[in-house]
Amino acid sequence: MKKINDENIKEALKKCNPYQIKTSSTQIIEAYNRAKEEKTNNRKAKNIIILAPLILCSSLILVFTMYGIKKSNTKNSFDYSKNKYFTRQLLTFTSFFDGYEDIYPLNKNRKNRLSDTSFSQVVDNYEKVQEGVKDLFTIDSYYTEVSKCSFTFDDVIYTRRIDYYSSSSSLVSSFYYNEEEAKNKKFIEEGLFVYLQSYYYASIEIKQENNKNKSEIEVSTILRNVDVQQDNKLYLIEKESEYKGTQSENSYSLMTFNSYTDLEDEACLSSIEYEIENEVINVSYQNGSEEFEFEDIKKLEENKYSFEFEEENDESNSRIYLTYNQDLSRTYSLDDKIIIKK
Amino acid sequence: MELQDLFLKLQEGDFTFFDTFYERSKNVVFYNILSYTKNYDISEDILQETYVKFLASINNINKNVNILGYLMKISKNLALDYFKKNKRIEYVEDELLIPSYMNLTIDEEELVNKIKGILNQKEFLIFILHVLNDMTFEEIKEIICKPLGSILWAYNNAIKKLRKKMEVEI
Repeated sequence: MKKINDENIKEALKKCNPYQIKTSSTQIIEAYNRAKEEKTNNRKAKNIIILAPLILCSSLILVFTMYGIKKSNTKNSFDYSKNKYFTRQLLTFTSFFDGYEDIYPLNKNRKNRLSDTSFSQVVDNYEKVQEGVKDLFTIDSYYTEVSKCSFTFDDVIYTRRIDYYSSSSSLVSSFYYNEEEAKNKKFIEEGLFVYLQSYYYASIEIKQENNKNKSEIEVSTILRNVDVQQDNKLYLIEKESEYKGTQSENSYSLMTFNSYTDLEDEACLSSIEYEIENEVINVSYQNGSEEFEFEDIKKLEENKYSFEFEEENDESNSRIYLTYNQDLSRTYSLDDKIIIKK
Repeated sequence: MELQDLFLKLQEGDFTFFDTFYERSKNVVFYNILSYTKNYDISEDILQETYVKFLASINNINKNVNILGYLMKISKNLALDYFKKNKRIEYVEDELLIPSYMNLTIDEEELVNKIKGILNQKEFLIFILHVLNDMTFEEIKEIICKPLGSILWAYNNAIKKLRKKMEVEI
């Protein structure tokens, strides 16, 4: 990556007299002891659900308490079929899920310079996400069809169904749910998601907050395969967007966990995260301590894309071009010299 | 002793290590809060609340968690909770921000306030952690759990924005 010329800005800031934090450790210990004493005096003999602050979206915890939450009677203002953020989340899963399991193991030689041997390894890794990324460029052309139904699964009768179709009118997936009534905008829903003949229990939470200058929407979906013998993992898909006037950021992530405990502890097995801004995509995925990022992914023409790859401790970016050929193969090129065909 | 080791000592109940633990972690946590609140006084309050909450839940924290990342998450949630409870406290114009303590020099606060108005929350946090806290991008990546590319990308954008908008010749 090009070296960022930030010396002048750093100098300007460092010339300032630094701010000294006033709160001391003694004050904190005193406050802690006061709080502890107060709690001892006010302790009640009922079960308390302790919210783990570890979770970035603290609302996720409420997903796990959903079984204890009673549904209220006021009108539900959230329409799954019309909400593009929820749609995008499910399509994030379907876009990246196919090749997801094949990501392991990741490149073990990632510290080599790209110009040496790792171009082919970069290509191999991009191959794992190329289909998902390509889908992202067309995801806005997906459409949905909503219908009423009476579908029973695991003793639950679902009365609504949304079918998701790709731009070529292929049915990609379906989502079953019931129209629930929630008291306020922050609520938890349950549904059934069907993809590749597998059924997933879906737990969804939507939070919307409007301040004077900005509006924030957070949508979180957890999918769990009903057949734990086939697949016992949890998939957490999160969407976060922030609007300030016309500026917007859209980021989504798909994380995999072994258990709800791991999810609470944020101990994910692996994750894919992407951001879309002005039709440019950045994608990253992690597996334990290894991670790869592909930046500035653009669609140049109908079947031609390009992306940048940067190595850690390397000051240069490499731009790689990817062409989808008519015979469904793919050609990667670097500096118009090195070519790999897949 | 590493921060993680200090945390384990605290978890064993030995609070004599708290002062060192706090001194080593407070700056990062404070600036994380400030990136949301944009107010030094409020940030001081939330900083204290963060660590009180941390101590109260210390026995429930997984030993293997990145403790600085954990503190960042507590502090972020508390900052956001603060806004929910006090909706009248919204983003304030830079000109109206009053320095926290009159007996302190206000240079850094003024400049940081200007920067806060130009950058978004993520850019501001990464910028402050790197420039004021001298953290490497690798260290920042571990704390805020974002890919290195995203962090570099955000930092680069921050520098570009600051170059364009700040009056100081840079």
